[in-house]
Amino acid sequence: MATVSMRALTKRFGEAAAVDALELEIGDGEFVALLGPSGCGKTTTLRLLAGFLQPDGGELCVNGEVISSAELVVPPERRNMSMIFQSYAVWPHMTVAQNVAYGLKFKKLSRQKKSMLN
Amino acid sequence: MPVSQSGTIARIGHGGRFAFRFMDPTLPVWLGAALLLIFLMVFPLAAIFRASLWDESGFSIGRYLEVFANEQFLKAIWNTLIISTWVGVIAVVIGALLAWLVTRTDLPWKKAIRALVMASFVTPPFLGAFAWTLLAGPNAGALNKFYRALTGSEEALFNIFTMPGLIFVMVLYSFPFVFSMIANVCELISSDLEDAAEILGANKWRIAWTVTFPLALPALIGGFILAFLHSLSLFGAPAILGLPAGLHTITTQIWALFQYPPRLDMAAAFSVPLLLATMLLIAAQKKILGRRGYSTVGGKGGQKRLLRLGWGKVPVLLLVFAILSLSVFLPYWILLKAALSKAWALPLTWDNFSLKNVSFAFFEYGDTQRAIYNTFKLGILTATVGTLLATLIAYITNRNLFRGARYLTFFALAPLVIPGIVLAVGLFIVYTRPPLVLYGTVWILFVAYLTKEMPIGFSQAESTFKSIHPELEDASRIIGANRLTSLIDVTVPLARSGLIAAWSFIFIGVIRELSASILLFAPSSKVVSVVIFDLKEEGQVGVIAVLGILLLLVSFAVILSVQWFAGRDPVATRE
Repeated sequence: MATVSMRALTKRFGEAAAVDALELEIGDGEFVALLGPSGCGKTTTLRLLAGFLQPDGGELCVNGEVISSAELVVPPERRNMSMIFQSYAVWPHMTVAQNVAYGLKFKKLSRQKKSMLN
Repeated sequence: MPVSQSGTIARIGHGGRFAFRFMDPTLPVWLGAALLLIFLMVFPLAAIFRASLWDESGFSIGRYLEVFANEQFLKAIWNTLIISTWVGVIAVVIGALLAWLVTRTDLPWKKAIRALVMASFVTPPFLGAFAWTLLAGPNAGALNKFYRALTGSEEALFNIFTMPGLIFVMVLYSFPFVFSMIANVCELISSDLEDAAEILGANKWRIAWTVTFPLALPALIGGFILAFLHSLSLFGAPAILGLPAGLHTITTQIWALFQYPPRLDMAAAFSVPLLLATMLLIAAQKKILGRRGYSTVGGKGGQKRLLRLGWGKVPVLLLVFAILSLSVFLPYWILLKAALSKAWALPLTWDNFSLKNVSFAFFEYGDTQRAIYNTFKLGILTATVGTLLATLIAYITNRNLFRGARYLTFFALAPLVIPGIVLAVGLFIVYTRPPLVLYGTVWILFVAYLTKEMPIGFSQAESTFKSIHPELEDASRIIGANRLTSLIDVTVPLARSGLIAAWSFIFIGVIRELSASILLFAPSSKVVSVVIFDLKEEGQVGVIAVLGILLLLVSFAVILSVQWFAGRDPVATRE
């Protein structure tokens, strides 16, 4: 299972620091909610965790291993994470079944399992 | 909320594959596209500067001195400035008037008017110029004959082979640029702003003068520069209408320098002032339109009331259709008549009717078959490769894929400041010598078209991508698709309509291209526009008309199918 730790994690957009030296430890199986007014950096933190943003400073580790830092970022598709987006991001050009099945293509599931889902 | 689902991340990380897992496997695709773009843009420009400054004996600015001491060259520059200034001014007046009428008044038949402006836009200027030689040539011109028959006079009413004639024709095919620009702005100016002035006690004219006009002013100046630039870079119209009168512009002068004995170095040196002028103007336009922020007032609160024209409707409509008949109805009519008659100058009676020109153009005249084949092959090829490259580049700049990605915008838009004939001078110099000799094949035309059409493809792809929420793509990446897969599976299908539009813009741009083709073609790689230009010398009026109508028909067919498709696209119509 997995633990997540953020050490002095920092992201700036121009002058403004959206996430400023955030320290956060999330243990295995823990359920964590980030609350705060708009613009306080919740989304930025999530996007850093998912690998869509590169931090300007600090580190982000999963199971003690650095997957994001100012130098290197493991791309989102290699993180084996999941995320639900603010806009839901349902693909309008696909059917419901296609939307659900799309991700399975990359999980290397057997054809049989896929057709079961279909 | 993101959750790591298993320990796979840790497992992948071990065992010396550290560097690999941080690397984006699709990076070569992006870098490849970026490099290709930079090569396309840098080579011809570098070649021009090099050829104008260096020769066997080393560095010298002698050629520039020669250009600016030569009276004929100075005259060509002067002519170009006068013509382009007039074209800019008149095109702004006509374009702005039509745009205002269509967007802000209750004029009827707006769709038809827009369609006709579109038709003027699609008509290749060289074809329009040619049609006008048939309409207003001093001797046999149809309008002059009509005038003589009407008045019994011996004089010609119009002579199109003059500077005013040339300006007139160039205006007809430049004002659509201004129209689309101003129409966009007029759509955005909210009536609230005008109402506010009315409440303060201003009358209609005062409102127009103190509110509406200043708000539209940046777009008017921008439109002027656009029309000015367009006429600056035209080759066909000045060659067809100016040269018989001994009137040279910069572009025809560059072409003349390529005729035997060719003076490549001089052509290069002469291209540089044109290049600098367009660069300066585009910079000015950017600056002026960049300040538009305060004026367009967003698309929000877009209450837009239409001005009632009342009794003025009929005369205004007549005026509008008079203008459009000059750019569309009259030229199309004379082309059709020339294509279908034995003698174009005689009335199109049953005796005079003949399909001889059609069969001659398609089946007998050797050059045309090959030219038609070349033109459409190049059109499809360039549009396909161009859309692909533009998509990749627009994606890179839009998502800022690597450091400096946004500078690619500059390269993709660079051809806007390179007149076609100048680009051709550069490409000619690069590809007539090793390591890559493309001259003599259609491939040099392909490179020219790809370069020249990149801005239109890029801006189309770019604006389409902007309208697609990046989260749709993020959602695909978080479940394991890499960037390229996400682009292909999610973004491109969503951008379909926009990309098809990009394809068709490039295609239409290619099949009508003359100013670069005229320097780059070889006997085996002639294209339709070049054949038309050659046939002009031979006086083959009917064949030219047939080929011209073919170009027009194909262009309209492409536009209509794009509109049909966009109208049916469930994704595009959703918004």
